[in-house]
Amino acid sequence: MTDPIKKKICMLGAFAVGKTSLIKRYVEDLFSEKYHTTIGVKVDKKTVKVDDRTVDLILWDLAGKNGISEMRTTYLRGAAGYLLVVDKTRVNTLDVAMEMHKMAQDMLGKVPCILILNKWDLEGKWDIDEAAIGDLRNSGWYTIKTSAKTGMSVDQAFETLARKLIE
Amino acid sequence: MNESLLARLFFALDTVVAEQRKGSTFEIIGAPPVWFTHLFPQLKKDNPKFVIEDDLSFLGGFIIDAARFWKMKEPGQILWSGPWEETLEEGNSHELEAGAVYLEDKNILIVRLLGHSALADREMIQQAREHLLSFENLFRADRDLKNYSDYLEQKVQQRTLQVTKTLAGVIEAIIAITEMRDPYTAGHQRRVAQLACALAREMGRPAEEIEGLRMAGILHDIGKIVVPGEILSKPGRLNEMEMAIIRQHPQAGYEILKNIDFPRPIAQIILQHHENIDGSGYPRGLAGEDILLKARILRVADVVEAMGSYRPYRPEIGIDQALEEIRLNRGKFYDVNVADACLRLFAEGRFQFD
Repeated sequence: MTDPIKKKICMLGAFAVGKTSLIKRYVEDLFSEKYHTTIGVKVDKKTVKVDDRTVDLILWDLAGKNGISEMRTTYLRGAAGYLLVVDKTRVNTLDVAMEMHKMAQDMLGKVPCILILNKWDLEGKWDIDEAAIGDLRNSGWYTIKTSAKTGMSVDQAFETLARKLIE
Repeated sequence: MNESLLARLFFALDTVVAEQRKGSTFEIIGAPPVWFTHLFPQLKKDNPKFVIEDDLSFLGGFIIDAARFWKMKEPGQILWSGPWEETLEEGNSHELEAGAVYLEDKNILIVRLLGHSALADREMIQQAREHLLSFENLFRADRDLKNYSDYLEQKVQQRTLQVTKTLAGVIEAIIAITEMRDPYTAGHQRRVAQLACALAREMGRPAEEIEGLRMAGILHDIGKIVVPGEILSKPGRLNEMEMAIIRQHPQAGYEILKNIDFPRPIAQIILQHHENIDGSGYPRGLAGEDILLKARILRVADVVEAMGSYRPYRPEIGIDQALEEIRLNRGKFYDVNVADACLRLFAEGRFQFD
């Protein structure tokens, strides 16, 4: 039996987009409505099977960008890929995500990443229109609609990235 | 202070101080606190060494930065990692911070449990972020309101355009009715409107006034709808009674239009378009500036067009004769400024009926 492959994944995005909730849903299958701010970094682990290979995902949940504190780029070191999380109900989080994507690319080069459109369940509050999402897809972004609250496509998001990491 | 006392102090402060032995192996000064053994379960009291093997862990990442820092050999300086959150027991996460210091030729690693101070910091940051979220919500609500207001404004503009088009259609229908009853004057109203607008422009009148004149011009004979067709198309001179009936048309036009809420006083202009400056006109015998300027302009345009065209009761007189009439009665029947503008336009060849 071969040793599991270890891969570091970073969660990037503005504050309160649901990065911690996505990890909590993925790792523990739990969700809390209460907003719990992340200070610095929170590291979690999850082992997944991708085809016949075992992958240990080291999940780095980085505090969201908010203008109060800046993220240390050294936290990205060693990341094999990242999930760029956007809150579908706050259009400005898309701009923040794009800034962070640029920063991550500068640090890591072209590593796999997926744009996560989170809070998809809050349909009445959507602030990012389909046209903007269509433009992103047309420009080459791989996007996944998720809801940490309902669990919609959360496993798929992490496992799609895991698959990309070992391809 | 001896080493044992220092070790107890670190323990009490929930701080681990370890010296780098070789590569990623460290040895704790004193006994490891319980929380630290959750990070490194291989730690033993009699052998307080631990190895940071996993460079993908937070400490593993920090050791790379610390190694660079230690190489600089700057005693008294501390490199802090910034806080991180680690699950130390089942479901319980704690905030920690690591530091690197170079002291007495030793590479020292510090790991401290942030405890209450971290809770206070978290509380403060949490509140700041919640305020930011509220501000974002307010900003979004304001933006949505502005978008809705823009949408409404656009709707109003569309509806206004639609109403204007409908009004133009209704006016066209009215003109068609008037011209059907008086085919000899077909096109008269449009040509009067054309000249009246040219006169107003020549006199430097504002655009909205010119638009009012255009509308008044194309409707000015609407009152002729009350004049029997046989009088309108009668060849030869009209008798006194017939003339009296014809002279009712400005009042009739006014009565037809007075209740329509035009953006300009169209009905009043039409009522006054046969008034003369000297008070000899009809229906009210108004004089001088009691007559609206737009009505004075319309008066001149009406006379010039009518005299220049064929009528069933007389042969065509021609524009030259019409202009002579204006020149002769300038200041008597016709406003001096309007008359001068008209004579200038034709003399300089700057106007021609379509």
